[in-house]
Amino acid sequence: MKYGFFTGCTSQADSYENEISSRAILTHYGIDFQDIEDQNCCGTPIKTTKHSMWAFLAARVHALAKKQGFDAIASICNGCDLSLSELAHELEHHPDLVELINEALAKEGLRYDGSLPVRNILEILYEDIGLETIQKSVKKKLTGFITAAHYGCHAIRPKTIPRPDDSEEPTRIQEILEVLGAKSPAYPELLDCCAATVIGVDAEKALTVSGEKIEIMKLRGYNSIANICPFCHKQLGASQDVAGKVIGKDVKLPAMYLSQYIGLALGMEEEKLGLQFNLTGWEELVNK
Amino acid sequence: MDTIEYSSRDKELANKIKAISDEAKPEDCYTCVKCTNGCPANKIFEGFVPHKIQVAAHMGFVEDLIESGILWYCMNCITCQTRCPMKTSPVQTISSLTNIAVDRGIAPPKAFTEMIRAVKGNGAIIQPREAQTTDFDFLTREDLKLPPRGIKDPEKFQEALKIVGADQVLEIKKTEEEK
Repeated sequence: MKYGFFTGCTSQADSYENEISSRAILTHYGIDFQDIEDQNCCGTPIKTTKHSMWAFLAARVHALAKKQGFDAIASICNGCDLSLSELAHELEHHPDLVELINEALAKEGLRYDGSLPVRNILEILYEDIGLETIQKSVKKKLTGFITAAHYGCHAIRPKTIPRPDDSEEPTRIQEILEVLGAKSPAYPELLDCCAATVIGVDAEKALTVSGEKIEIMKLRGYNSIANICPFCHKQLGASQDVAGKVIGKDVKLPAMYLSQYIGLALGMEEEKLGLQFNLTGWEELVNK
Repeated sequence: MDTIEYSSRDKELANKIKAISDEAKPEDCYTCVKCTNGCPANKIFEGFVPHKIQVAAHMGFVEDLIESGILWYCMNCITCQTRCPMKTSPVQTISSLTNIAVDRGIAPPKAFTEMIRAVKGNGAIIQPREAQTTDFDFLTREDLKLPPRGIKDPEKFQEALKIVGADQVLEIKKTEEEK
């Protein structure tokens, strides 16, 4: 299976650590992937404003990936993953919209004639590579890591289309962390939203939500956070300083992408995992 | 008791929502309140009450909801849809209503317009930038030898976006935008 690699807006612009570590891990395990050329936004952030533009953007990615000969799309963002996954389902009963999209796509010599399978990095890690392979490749166990998993809403919902993990009891991030040697028990707030979607509407409230989630992770004794989505990572990792100021508490807690945890356990160099961009104090944890 | 003053009724609303989403189904909601109980936006934004939005949408009384701008506080977490015993989708109703508002010329919050403007520019909602490292360096995609991003033929891409309504959103008056 040849994957078309889709970065999405956030990773390609300012969450380089997600892109770098994903590329490194997929390459390490021999996943066949190549960038989808000329790729655009998946449409997610536009969906509530202009539905037809959302559908066009998602369809354009599928049309490009098909034209470039890929068998499936690999995504490293939950938002992109859901947008590209739900397109076919949403278009099922809307032939008018398909017609409009194709009229637009024709401007660039493209055509949407159905979607390719879309795979979130969590699915690739868990299903294509698998726990056993990951476990066997561990060189440096993540002893001492007590890691709070954060799945992100769009990796587990809605139930109407297949998602990377269960809507109410997801376990895959934790299972992967455990085979790396970390501890990652569930916690009552596991499914709570990071509030990234409303950051442009009311930043203070959005950061209160994420700040309080980190605070509770700390209270429960976790010493690190694992994400798979750059929007969630921005809320729970990159914005920790400002979230802490908003709620008036210290919410500093090392936050990394799941790929980075895997890379650390594989003994990969920190720069190859983009760890130089994680500013939440992972060094203390790793060098302990 | 917090009641909403309903100014006018849109009897065609159900069809307008259906044209955007088959899954919204406000007519099937029996207000068990499961959606609202699980809603993270309801916890922090006063007046954001998904089951009430379903009822208002079913009855066609959404003028005040649309005018107030409160629908934009939805976090799009989809918990409401996942837990609805009647398989309705408050989140899809909300998303349909914000679309209907924009179609009528009511501007979305500025951030949403700006994302459309950015996508029109080079295909993404944000442009690649210098990112800070733990050593206080600032690195770009180029520095990191990551492949370049951006639309190859922006002019044709923009023509396509026009067909699917991007310009219509961007042309909504700026004064409205700043409200």
